Amino acid sequence: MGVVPLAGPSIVYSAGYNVAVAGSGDLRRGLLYCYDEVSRRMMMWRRKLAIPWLLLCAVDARLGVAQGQMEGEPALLSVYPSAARRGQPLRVEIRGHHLEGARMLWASEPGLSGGVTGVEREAQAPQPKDDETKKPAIWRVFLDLDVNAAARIGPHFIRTVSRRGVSTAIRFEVLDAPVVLEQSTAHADPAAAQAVSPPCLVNGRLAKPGEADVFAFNAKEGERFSFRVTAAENFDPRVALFSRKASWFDDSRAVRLLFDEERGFEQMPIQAIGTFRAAQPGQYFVQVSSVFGKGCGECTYQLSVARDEAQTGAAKSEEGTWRERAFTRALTPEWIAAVGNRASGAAARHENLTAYTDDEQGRELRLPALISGVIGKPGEADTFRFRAEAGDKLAFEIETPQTPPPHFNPVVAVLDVQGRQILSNIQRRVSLFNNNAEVEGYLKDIEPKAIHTFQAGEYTLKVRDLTARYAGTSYAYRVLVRRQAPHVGEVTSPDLDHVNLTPGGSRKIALTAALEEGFTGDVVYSASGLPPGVTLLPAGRLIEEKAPRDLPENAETVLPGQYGSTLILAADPGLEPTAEPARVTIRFRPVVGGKPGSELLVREFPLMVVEQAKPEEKRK
Amino acid sequence: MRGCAAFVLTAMCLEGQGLRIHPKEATLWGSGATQRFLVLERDAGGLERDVTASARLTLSDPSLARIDASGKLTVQAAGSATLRAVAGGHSAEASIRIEGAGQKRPFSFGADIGGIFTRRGCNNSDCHGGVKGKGGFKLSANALFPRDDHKWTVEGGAFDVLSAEVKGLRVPRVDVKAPEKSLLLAKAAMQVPHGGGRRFAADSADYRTILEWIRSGAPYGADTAGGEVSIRSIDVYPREAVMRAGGSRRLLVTAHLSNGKKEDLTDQVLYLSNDTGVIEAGEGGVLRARQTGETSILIRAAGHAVSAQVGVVGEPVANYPDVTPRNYIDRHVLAKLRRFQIAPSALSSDEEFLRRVSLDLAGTLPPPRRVREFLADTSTGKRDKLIEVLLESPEFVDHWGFRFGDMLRATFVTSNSTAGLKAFEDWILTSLMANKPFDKLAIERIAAQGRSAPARNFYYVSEKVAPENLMPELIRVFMGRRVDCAQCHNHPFETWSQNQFWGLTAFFGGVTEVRNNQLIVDTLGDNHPDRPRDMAVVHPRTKEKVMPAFLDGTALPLDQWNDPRMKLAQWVVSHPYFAEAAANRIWGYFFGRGIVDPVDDFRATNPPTHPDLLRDLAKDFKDHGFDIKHLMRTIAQSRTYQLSSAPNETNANDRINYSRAQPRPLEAPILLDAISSATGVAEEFRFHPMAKGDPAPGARAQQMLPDLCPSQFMDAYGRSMRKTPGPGSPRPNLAQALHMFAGPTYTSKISKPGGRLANLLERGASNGEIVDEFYLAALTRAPTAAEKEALLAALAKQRGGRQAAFGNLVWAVLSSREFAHNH
Repeated sequence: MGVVPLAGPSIVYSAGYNVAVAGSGDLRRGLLYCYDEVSRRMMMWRRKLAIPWLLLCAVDARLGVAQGQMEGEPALLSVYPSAARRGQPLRVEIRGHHLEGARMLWASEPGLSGGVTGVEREAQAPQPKDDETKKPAIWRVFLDLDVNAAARIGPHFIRTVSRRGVSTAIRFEVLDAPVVLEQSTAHADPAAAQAVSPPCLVNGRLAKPGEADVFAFNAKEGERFSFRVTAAENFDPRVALFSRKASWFDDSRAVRLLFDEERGFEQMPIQAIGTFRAAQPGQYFVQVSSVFGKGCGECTYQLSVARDEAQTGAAKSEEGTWRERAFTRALTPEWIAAVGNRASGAAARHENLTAYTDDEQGRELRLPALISGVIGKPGEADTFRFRAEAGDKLAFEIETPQTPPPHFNPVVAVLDVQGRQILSNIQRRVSLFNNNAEVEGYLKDIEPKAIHTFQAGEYTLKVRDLTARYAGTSYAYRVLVRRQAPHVGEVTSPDLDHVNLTPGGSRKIALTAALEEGFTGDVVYSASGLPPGVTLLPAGRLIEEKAPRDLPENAETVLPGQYGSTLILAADPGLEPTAEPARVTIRFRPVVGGKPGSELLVREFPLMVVEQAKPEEKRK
Repeated sequence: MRGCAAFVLTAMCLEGQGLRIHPKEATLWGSGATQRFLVLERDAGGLERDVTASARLTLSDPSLARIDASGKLTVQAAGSATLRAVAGGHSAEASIRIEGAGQKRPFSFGADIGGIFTRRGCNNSDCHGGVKGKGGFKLSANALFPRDDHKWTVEGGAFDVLSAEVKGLRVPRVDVKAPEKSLLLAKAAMQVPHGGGRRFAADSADYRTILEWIRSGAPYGADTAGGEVSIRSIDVYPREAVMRAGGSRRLLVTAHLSNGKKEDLTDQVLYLSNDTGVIEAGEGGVLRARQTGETSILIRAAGHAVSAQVGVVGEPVANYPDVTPRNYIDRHVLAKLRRFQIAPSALSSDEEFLRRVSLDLAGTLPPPRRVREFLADTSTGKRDKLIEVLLESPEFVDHWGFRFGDMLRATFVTSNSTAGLKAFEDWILTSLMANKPFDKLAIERIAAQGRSAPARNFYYVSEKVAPENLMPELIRVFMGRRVDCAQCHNHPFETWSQNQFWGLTAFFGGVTEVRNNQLIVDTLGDNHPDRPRDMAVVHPRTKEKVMPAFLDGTALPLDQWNDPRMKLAQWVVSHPYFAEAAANRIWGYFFGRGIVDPVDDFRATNPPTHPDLLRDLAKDFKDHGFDIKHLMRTIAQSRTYQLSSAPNETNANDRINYSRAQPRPLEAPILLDAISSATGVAEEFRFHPMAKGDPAPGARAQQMLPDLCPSQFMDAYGRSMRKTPGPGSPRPNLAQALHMFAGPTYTSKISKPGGRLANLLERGASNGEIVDEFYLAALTRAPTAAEKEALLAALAKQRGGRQAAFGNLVWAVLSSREFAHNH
C-alpha cells in the first residue's frame, strides 16, 4: 500500500488511515497529527515511504481542507447568544462562511425553531501585507429563535439551510436557568462592570483583540461560588476574580483573588474554572478574557456563575455514540451485554460478574470481576490477585468515573508470580525521530483497555496513577476484568457531518471500524432516509490492518485492529434540489461466519440535493 | 628582691590585655606533627595585628616540642605543655597536648604527593589540572581525584572527554629504576625544559619527599593522610581580616578530619590573592598589605578549597558614626563597615526611599498623589506600612512574575507551545499571589509531573527531555552552583566531578512524555520490566549506565525509583545550598549585587563578601518556611537597604560593603513601564502572530513574555530573552542613545492626547504645577527651589507654545540618569 491521494483535494488515504485536518487550517496542529501518523507508519514501512507521505500531509494541512467537504459549502463558525432558557425567545446571530441566501434553521431535534430575519456580509478588515492566507468572507445570519418550553435541556445542534445546502452544525445550549446577555457597551474594568445575579449563565463575546469583560456580583460572608467559562473552539478563555480593593498605584486596577484551586496547587493547566468562598461580604468582580487577548466576532463564551458549585449549563452529550475507547464509559453489567451485541448479535454471557472494592485488596478475584476503588494517596497502588488457565484470553477495561485523564491517569498492570510485568495499558510505538528505535524514545500513550492471552498461573493486578504525585477522593476507578469478546468497536467517520450532493454528483464516505479483541468477521453498512434519487452504492472493503505493533515485551497489543470501508452516496442526474435536509442514518452489522448480527447506529446526518454551484459562487 | 622582681614582671606582663594566642588550645598527633600559632595584639584603633614575629615564645616543657620564631611548633614527645607568648609588655598562653608522638603517619599519595602538586600549583586549572592537562601530563584540579592522579603519574596517559580508554603513547612520569631521572622531578626542578618553569629546587623538602616516594616504588598508599582518616573540611583563620596598609600577617589553615581531630595545614596549602595590588599572599599563609582595598585569598589544599576575605584600611575614621541597627542585616553590615573603617551614608530621604522601594518591590513608580501623601505622613512607622502595602499590591505580582519568569525561563522554547507557556507563567504568578513557600515552588518545579504547568515547561524534544540540560539549569537556579563544565570533564575550578554531574543528571533520565495525554512522567512505572532502561543516562566516558546519585555519591535506592525527582527535589531544598542561594538571589535584586556575585555562581574561588550575613539570611529564610515576602520585608526594613545613595568621604569607592545604596540602571521592562507611568501613556503592545491575539489595553511591559511580545525598545535596553536563567543586561549602547533621541517611546508619549502633559495643559495647570507634577511622577520628588527657578525661567524663554516647551522639559527629565536609575 502506497500513498494514494484520492479524488478531491482533501482526502489522503494511507494504509487504511484516513488523515484529514479539519477546518481550522492550523498548520502546526495538522503537522503534529501527520507526524503522529507517520510514527505509526514507521513500524511497518521504511522511511522513504513515510517522508513523502508526510509532505502530502503537510500540503493538506496547509490547505486546511477536510475530507468530503466541498469547497464553498456553508460552514458555521459561531452562534451568539449560544444558550437560552427554555421558553425564552431570542434573536441570535450566526456567523460563518458561504451563508449567503440562508433561508431556514435546521435543528437536530425538536424544540428549536426559528426564522431567518436577515443575512449580511461582514465588511472585511484589510489583510496585513505579510499575511498571504486566503480568507473567505464572513456572513452573518440573523434569526428569531424560538426555544420551546418543552425543549430538551442540554446541547442542541443547529444548522442553516441555503441554496448551497445544509451547513455544518453548531452547538446551542438549552437551559432551565436564567440566561443573561452581555451588555453592548464596554465593561472592561470594575467601574464599568455589568451586574449579574448568581446563579446565572452569561452569554458573551470577546469581539476585539485584547478585550476583557467584567461582571459584578454580590456575595454574603462565607458564601461559596463556582465559575466556569465555556468558549467557542477558536480561543482559550480565562476567568479571573477580583475584589473591590484597588491597587495603591492605580485606582482603576482591582486586586485579583485566587480561586480555591489555585492556592498552592501545582496542577493548574489553563482552565477557565474555579471555586471561591467569600471571606467578606460585598461586591466581587469576575473577568472573562482570552489567554493571549484573542478577540473576534466568533469568540463567544458562556460564563456560568453558580452558588455552592452547582453549575448552570449542560454536560457534554455523548448520547448515541459508542465510546469504547473512552475512560468515561460506564463499565456496568450492561456494558458487557452491549459489547456482546456488537459481535454477532448474540447477547454476551453475564457469567456472574462479581463486584469488588479496593477494601478487598489481596483477595483472589473471581472472573469476570468489576473492581471499584480510589487512589487516595499519591503513589498508592491497589493490588488484586487472580488465576488464569493456559490460553485464557482476558480483557482489562478501565473507567475513571469522576476524574478522567489528563488529571487521573490510571495504569493497570498485570504481574506474574516472579513480579515481572507482563501487561499494561501503556501503549508504545516508534517515533519518527527515533531512528535507532531506542526504547526511551518511543511514543507512549495510556489506553482505557488492554488484552492478553495468559499462561496458566497466578497473577497480580495493580492499579495506580501514572504519576506518583496526584491522588484524592475523586481519583476513582473501575476496572472490568472479563473474557475477551471479539466484536466491532468504534466505527468512525470523522468528517461525516452532513452531505450536500449536486445532481449527478457523488460523495465518498470513509468508515473505519475497530476490530476489538480479535474480531475476524465482516462489517456491512446500510443507509436509511435517503431522498428519492440518492443511492448508497455497495460498500467496498479497503483494507484490513492490524494495529500498530507494540513493543516486543507486550506480546499483545492494547490497540485494536482496524477495518476500513468506503461508501458512495450518489445523486441521479437531473434530480431537483431538495427544499430541506433529509435525515439519513447509516448503520452497520457485524457478520461472523456468514451470520449477521444486530443493526447498530453509525451516524445520523442531514443530506440535501443542491444546485451545481456557479464558478463565481465558489470564489466568494 | 626576687619576689619583688617577680611582682614587677607580672605587673608588666598583664595576661589577656590586648594579646592572645591562636589557637588557644591545640592537640597534635604523630611523629613530626606541626602546628602554627599566631600571637595577636589589638592596636589603639581596635585592629588586631599579627605580632608573632616580634613575640617571645616559650614552652613550659621544651622537651615535648620545638617552637621557632615564626610560631611553628614541631612535636618531639608526647605530653602536655603551655605555650607562653610575651610581646609589648603583655603576655598570653595556649595549652598544647601531644599524642602518638612515636607513631609515623601512614603515607598517602593524595595527601603527601597531591598536597605538593596543589601547593606548587602543578594541578592548577591553567596547568596540568586543566581539562586535558598540559604537555601530555594530566592531574585532577586541586588533587580532587588522587587515584586518577596516581595512575596518570605512574602509568602515564591523559584524559579523553568521550572515552575512558587512554589513547596515544603513555609516558610515565616516574622511573622507579632511576628515581632521580623521573620526569616528575626533573621537570619540576627545571633539570629538563619545563613549560611551567621551576616549581621547587632540587634541594627542597618537596623534592626529597617525591624522590623518597619513587624510591619506595611509587605506591598509592592510604587513601588519605592518617590511613582510614580523611579530611572532611578545611577552614581558615581568620575568615575575615583587616590590615593596615604596609602591614603583614599570617593565615592559619586547619583540616577537620573524619576522626574528629584537627590538623594544621598552614604550610601545606597554596594561597592565591584575587587582587595582588591589595594583598600579596605568600608561602605559609603570610599576607602583605599593599594598598587600601578588599580582596579574597583563595586557599587550596588537596581536594579542598576555602577563602578568606581581607581588607586593607588606612587611618581610623575620626568620630565614626554610631548607627543603630534595625535588624540582623544591619548588625552584620555595620559591624563589617566599622571593622573596615567605612562610614555608612545617612538614612535615605523619604523621597529616595519611596522611589527605591516602589521600584524594587513593585517595579513601578508611585503616582504623584501617593508621593504627596507619603511625604505628608508624619507617622513613625510609615516606611514599614508602605512595605506591607507594596508586598500586597498586584504590581508586586507583575514585577516578581517578571523576575521569576527570567529566573525560571518562561519561554516558548522551553514550553513548546503558547498555551504551555501561558500555563507556566500563570503558575509563577499564582505562586506569587499565594506567597507559596520557595521550597514548595522549587519542589513543584524540579519534581514536576503529570500535566502540571511546570511539567509542561520541561523542554522536551521528540518525546525526550535532555536531562544533561535540565539538571544543571535547575541546580544553578535553586542551588546557585554552575556545574555545566562537569558534563564533559571534572570541573576545572571546582570540586564538581564528571561522575557527580551524571549522577545528578540520572535523576532526570526517565523523564518522558506520554504523548496523547500530554503528561510528563519519570518512568513507565512500578516494577516495569523496562525500568532500568527508563532511567537510562549513559556516562559519556565509560559508556555505562549511570545510577541516580546525590552529590555525596549516595545512590538513590531502587525502591524509590518510581519518583526519583521528588527525592532529588526534597534533597535540594533540604541542602544548605538551597536557602543560601535563594537568599542571595533575592538580596541581589535589592542591592544590585549578591553577597556572592554573580548570584548563581557560588564557588570557592568566588567567596561571599559577608559570609555570616549570608548564613543568617539563609537561616532566617529557612526558619520562616522559605517565605519570600518575609525575606523581602526583612531586607526592605533594614537600615542597610534604606541608606542613602549619596556617598560620604569614606565610602565613595565602596561597591561591595553596602555602605550606601548603589544606583542601578532600570532593566528594560521596568524602564519602559516607568516611562509609561511618568507620561501617563500606556505602551501599546502587540503579540507575535502565533499568539493570535493582543494584550489588553494598559498592559505593562513586565507582563509581556519576551518571545511572544516583540519590542524594539526593550531589545535595545537589553531585556532578557530567557535563553539562560537570570535577568537581562541593561548596559548602555548606541541603540539606546538613538532611541532616546528619536524613538517613539521617548518622543510620541510625551505629548500624546490623554497623557499626563496633555491633561495638565488641558485643565490649565500653571507652569509651576506642571513642573512639580512631572518631578513627582518621574523622580518621586519635588524640584528643588533652584531647579524650579531655572526651569521656569527656561520655559519662559521657549518658543513654540507651552506644549512644545513642556515637551522638551519632560524629555529632559525622562532622559536623565536620575530617572533611568534606581538609586
